[in-house]
Amino acid sequence: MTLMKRNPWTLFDEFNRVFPSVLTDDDSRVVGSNWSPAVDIKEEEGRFVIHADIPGVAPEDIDISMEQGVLTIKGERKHESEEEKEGYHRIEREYGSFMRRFALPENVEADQITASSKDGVVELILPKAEKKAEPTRIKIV
Amino acid sequence: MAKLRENLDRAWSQVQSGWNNLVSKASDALTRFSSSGNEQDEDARTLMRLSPDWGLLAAEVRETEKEVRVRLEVPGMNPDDLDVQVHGKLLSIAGEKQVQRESDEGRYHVTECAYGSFARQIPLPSEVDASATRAEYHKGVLLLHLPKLEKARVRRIPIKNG
Repeated sequence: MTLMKRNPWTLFDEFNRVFPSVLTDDDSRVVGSNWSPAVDIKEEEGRFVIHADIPGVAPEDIDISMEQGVLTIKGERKHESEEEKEGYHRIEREYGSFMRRFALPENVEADQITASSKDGVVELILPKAEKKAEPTRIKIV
Repeated sequence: MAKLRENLDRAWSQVQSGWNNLVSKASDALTRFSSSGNEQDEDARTLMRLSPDWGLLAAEVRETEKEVRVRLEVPGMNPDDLDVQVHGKLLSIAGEKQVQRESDEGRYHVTECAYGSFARQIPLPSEVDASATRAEYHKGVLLLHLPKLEKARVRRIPIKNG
């Protein structure tokens, strides 16, 4: 069969291999944001620890929220100064809004989440919610 | 059938041109990270093994009248671990992003951040005085001020009114 000369899927495999941080299958990237930071998510016994590379963004421009088991990290990278509009020879950095969303596999204590930022890396600590000892029984009357 | 083939070919060439555009835009920033093998503990070794071998170190080069300003996104670095060199009109930045965190045993669900040693070369638009280079590191972004050599500066010639 000569209809399909090249198999485009090998290209996508190649793409996934070369750009592991650009395309992931966790479905958390939201269309509409200009860029999305790379993250590491680790599950420990009593908590989740998330590290996100968000260079060049001030902590006050990062918004973290938790709703119904979904963690959202969003914000905006702004240009450092208004005058810096000309004279560019190379622009690889992305400016504007970013967003990532993650559905966490277990419940966390939303009001116990802490976040800190150092050298462009944001660290989030999300303590897991204590498991209920007994499942609630609902009586049928 | 010929029509179908023509359409498929056209669709495919569009995918290809999009891909080429993406590669040309990102490939310079795409930087190889390799393990130096001196990870402190088991967790760091695990993360190093799972983390991608390639990371995007996005750069920005801007030329003003007097200097070349280079920004490079290198989050989570210790500035002491960065090595900056200038060879003529080529800037080399090498460094190591180490896994430095206190952690307990656990399992990684997502590992997208790259760790390890890297080196990146960035061509400069003009010759600079490497000895007068000033470097800053804020919020994970390295900012280099590279003063242009006197001869490389654009001279503006004022026109006198006759």
